[in-house]
Parts: sequence; structure tokens; C-alpha cells
Amino acid sequence: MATALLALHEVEKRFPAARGTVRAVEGVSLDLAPGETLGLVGESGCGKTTLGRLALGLLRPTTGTILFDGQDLQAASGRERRELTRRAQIIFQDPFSSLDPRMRAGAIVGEGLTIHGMAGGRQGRRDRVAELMDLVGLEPSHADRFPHEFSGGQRQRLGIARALAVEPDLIVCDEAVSALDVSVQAQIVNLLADLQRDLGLAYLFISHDLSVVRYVSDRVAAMYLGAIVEMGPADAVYADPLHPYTRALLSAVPTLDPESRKRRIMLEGDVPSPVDPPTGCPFHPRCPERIPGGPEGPSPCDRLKPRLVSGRADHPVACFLYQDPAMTEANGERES
Amino acid sequence: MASVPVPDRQALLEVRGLTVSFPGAGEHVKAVDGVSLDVRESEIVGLVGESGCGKSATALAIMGLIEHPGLAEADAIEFRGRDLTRMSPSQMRRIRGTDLAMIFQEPMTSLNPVLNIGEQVAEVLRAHRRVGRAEARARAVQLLGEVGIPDPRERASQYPHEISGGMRQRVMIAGALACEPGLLIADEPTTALDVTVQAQILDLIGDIRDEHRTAVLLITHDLGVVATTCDRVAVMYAGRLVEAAPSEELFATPLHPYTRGLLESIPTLGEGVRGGLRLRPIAGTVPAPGEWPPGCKFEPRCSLAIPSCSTSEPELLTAGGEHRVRCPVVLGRET
Repeated sequence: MATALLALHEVEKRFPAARGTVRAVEGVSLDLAPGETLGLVGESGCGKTTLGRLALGLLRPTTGTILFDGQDLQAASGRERRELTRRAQIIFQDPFSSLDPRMRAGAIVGEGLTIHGMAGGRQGRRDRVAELMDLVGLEPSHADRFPHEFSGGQRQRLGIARALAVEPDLIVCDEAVSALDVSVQAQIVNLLADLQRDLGLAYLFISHDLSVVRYVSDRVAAMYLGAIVEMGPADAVYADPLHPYTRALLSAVPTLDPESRKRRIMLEGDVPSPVDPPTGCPFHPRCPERIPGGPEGPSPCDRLKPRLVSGRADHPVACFLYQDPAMTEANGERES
Repeated sequence: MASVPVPDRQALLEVRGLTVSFPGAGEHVKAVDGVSLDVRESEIVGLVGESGCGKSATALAIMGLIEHPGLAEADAIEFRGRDLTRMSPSQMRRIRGTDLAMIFQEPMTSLNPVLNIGEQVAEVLRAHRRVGRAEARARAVQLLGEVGIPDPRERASQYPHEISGGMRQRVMIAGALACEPGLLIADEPTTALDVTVQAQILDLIGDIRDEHRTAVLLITHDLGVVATTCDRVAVMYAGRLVEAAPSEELFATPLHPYTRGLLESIPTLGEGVRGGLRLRPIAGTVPAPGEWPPGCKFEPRCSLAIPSCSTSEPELLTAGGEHRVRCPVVLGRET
């Protein structure tokens, strides 16, 4: 990878809560190349949405650095920040609540052009809005309609046109197709793929739907309790998941193969609270493959937090099944 | 109606010609149009379709829960041989919650926030069975344990906001099972849940059927859930049943162009856009109730449509055995 478009290094995000601190994102490092799609999977509360907000500069990390095209988001001046917010856009899950119901479609799509001084006069703006609506498969003559006059899928197309208007390099898709019916979801997934090919966009594709993520992603990162537990090429992660959590997650997806039910790995209990996460590996209380303690020594899983290190060249995993706990101890990463 | 005689297993629920409508601009707008389906004892039947296809309205109509000004009409809704459409409101109330129970998608809004979870389940027993407070409480704790809530005695005194979404759905199921229903209607019971929790709840529903012989009508938009959970499946589109078959057969040989289109739109775990693959979406969008076309409801989006499809609506035809499909074109029986 030459210059990463987006680079997160040891990013942590904590929120104050009534009883303690929510550890939403815990020591995440990742890179995203121009034109690449990184899928971010995990269940409710794993921190994937917070990570998306951090990548956009909408939230400041508690510690760690976030570089966008080599530039530190935190150190950027006001003008630089404005330019960075143009280059990184977002598409939200709910096309019903993420569009202002009192604005016409054309105004929604064109608002960013005005804000970033890209409008080029009234006619220029009108032409560009028509071009954008056409690009996402909407009828340009519908620019004077209100959001409620569009279907759910069409509204999501409006959200995409709004994001594309300012010619971004990165789009964070936060559950962008999750609220859509499958027949419409497929239309939007194909549209996102076409736009990426034609415009060279990079996507940070956040979703709880593992099948959709598999479909769109070059690489995939699985998150659990704020940390990335496994990351690698989509083909490798799906064909040969290494982390016990990723394995359970993938096995739980109901597929059209009725036999898949028999291969389900059932997890016990619920995800622990991010206010009071377990010691050691965050997954150890539910892990079916936890290393037992023995005469040689106690289990590392409840004492030490495994680091995300390469089991294979481009497929790192945070699990003591693949790394020597002594390495973690030696590096002083012991957590109590 | 092509009802196939099944000597070994009796139909527990027989719905015939169910139509549900709601007041629209001017006249009533149909949400469900002439749906007939059966659920047999200890069978899990999936009712699948996209938003607005009428699957939830069908479930509510079976439960007698379509409220004025909505209107549910049917030739018959027979449950254990008794026609529910002829029952008085008080008779319906006695059946609901006892022999006929229902759970919903969002357990947070279906549970009473000011009752602890033990009381929620005990309340069902005290409403329908002659049991004392202590006995109802003891049975509630037992039920909470049966649906997989750990430490049920301690957990029984927790309130809905103190437990996870998966646990709340288990509490709903415990309440629904309290009076040992013959039929459980589950409307998108796992849609709001994470995938690992969904797997737990689907397993629980399977266990309930196996251990209590409870039949389940499972309403879902997720064909994967149907494939891994249901014995038979009925597909709805724009208020109509368009295809019905044993589950394995439907996924092996889908017939209706809509069913085929749905199956082709779903990304699978084994392939990706990077291999040059593209999803094959169904063109266009689902028509809203009140905007249904006059002929076959799927005709405007159908690649197999012939001129007669837009003028006359096809019947549900028998394709062999228990497989029925509302499309003469795929069967080569167009006239």
C-alpha cells in the first residue's frame, strides 16, 4: 500500500457514562487504500459506528492518531478540516430520518455544493444536481419533489447523490443498505459497486449483515467490544475465519442451505457491557475455544489481552491460539 | 383451493380467503387479498415477503387483532375445527394467550416496563388459569428457566430495561408459552436481534416445537431464516400468496418469478463483487397497497410476463404435490 487514504493508529474512544466510562473503541489500528472497500462487521455495541464517526472526524479520539491522506485530523486547521470533511462523506442507514423532510430533493443533493463553494452559479448547480440524480438512477425532473414522495430505495439513492455531490474520496456507509428490502438492497449494492469502479471511491462499509459485507469488501475487519479481533482479505476471512468469535459469527448467519443450521456455533450468554469489559481477552467469557489452565500454567485468556498480530502475512488475529502469550507479557501489555 | 389431504397430520389452523383492508383515500385499501393457508400440528410454517406484502396483517387477522377502522374478512379461519371469525370478542380473548399466542419483533415495546419479568409471565397465568399468586410466580420462574434465562429466580425480579434484547425476546416467549399454546405466531421475532442471538432464539423456537409439539407460524422477511427453520413456506407479494411449498422444495426449485428474483437478489457468504459477480436485483419497486396493478401483481416487474398477465390475475395453481404457484407461465399453462 503506497499512501493510505485513511490510517488509524492505536485509536481509543471513551465516553463518560453514568456509572464509569464506556470503552467504545479500544486500540484500533487500520489502513484503507484509495479505491478500496474495508468491511467492518460486528454486533450491536461493538464500536463499529463510533469507528466510522472517528474516521470522518465527527468524533475526536481519546488517544491515538487518525490520518486522512497523510494529514492528521486533530492537527488540521479550520480550512483544512473543511476540505477534509468534503473528501470524506457518509451514507446513513435510515433514508427516512436522514433527509430533511422540508427540503426538496434538489436542495438536499445540492446543499454540499454551496457549502463547499462548488456550485458554480444557479444554473451550474442545477445542472450538477440533475447529473448527480441521473448518476444514482433517479429521474432528474424529480428534483423539486420532497423526500416523502420517494420510496425507501429512492431515498437511499438521494442520500448517495448527496454524498457524491462534493466529489469525496471516501464514503463511510453506515448500515447503508440494512433498512432496505432485499430486492431493493441488491439495486443499491450494485449501484455502490458501479460508483466505486467509475469514481475510484474508497468505502468503509459498516454492517451487521455479513453476507452483504462479504459481497462488497476487499478486506474485512471483525470487531468485538471495541477491538478488532481479526482482519484480512474478505476471501480469507470468510473461507477460513481464525478468531473463535468470527467463526461463531459466520456460522450463525442463516443461509439458504438448510444444512447450515447444523454447523452453527452457539455462543453462551450476551455481549458484556463496554462499561465493565472482562479482563484479558474481551471474548474469553463466551469463547468455546478458551485455552484451559493446566500444570504448565494458568490460562492466558482471562489475564492478558491478545494483540492483533499476523498469524498469516495479511490476516492478523487477536487470539492466543495463534500467538505466544509470553510475547504479550514481555511487551508489558498485561491488563488486570 | 387445492388442499392436499394429509392423513397423518391434522390441520391445526386453516385460513380460507382472508382479506384485510384499511380505509384509504375514499375507499378501503386491501393489504391482504384472499389468502388461504394451513398450519398443521407441531409444524413450523414460514410466511415470507417484503415490506407491505401483508404478512403481518395476515398474522394480526388470525389473532383477531385487526382493529376498527381496519377490516378483516375471511370465508373461514378454523383453529382446531372452530371458526374464529364466528367467535365473540370474549371467546376470542380466552383463546388468545392460551391456545393461540403471538410474539412480536420488538420485545421492548411489547413488555410492560413497570412490571418485573417474573410478574409479566405470572400475569399471563393469572389472567387465564386459576392459580394463586405464589404458584403463578413459581411457574413463571420455571418458564423463564425453560426459555434459557440463566438464574431465573434472581432474574425474575429484573425489569425489561435491565436485560438485553435477546433476553427480552426470551421473556416474551416464556409469556407466550405460559398456557401451552397449540400455535405460536411469531412476527419477525429475531429481526431486531444480532445474528448470534438470532441463532439462539431460532434454536429455542425449534426446541419448543420438538418438546411441546407447538406449531409455529413464523413471519419473516429473511429467506435464510426460513431455509434453516421452517418445514413449509408461503411467499407473499402485494397482499397475495404467490407460492407455497415444503421448504426444501421451494429452495431447490423455486417457481414463481418473484421467488426466483428474491433468491437471486440475496448476497451469499461465498461470493463477492470482486470476482466480477453482480447481484441480480428485481427491477422496480414493490407497489404500495392501493396501487396494485389489475392483473398479476408482479407483472410490472416480471421478465417472463406475457400480455395476458396484465389483464387477468392468475389463480394459485398446483405444480405437483404440495407445491402451489400463482403463475401459469412458469408451468407452461398460459391460456
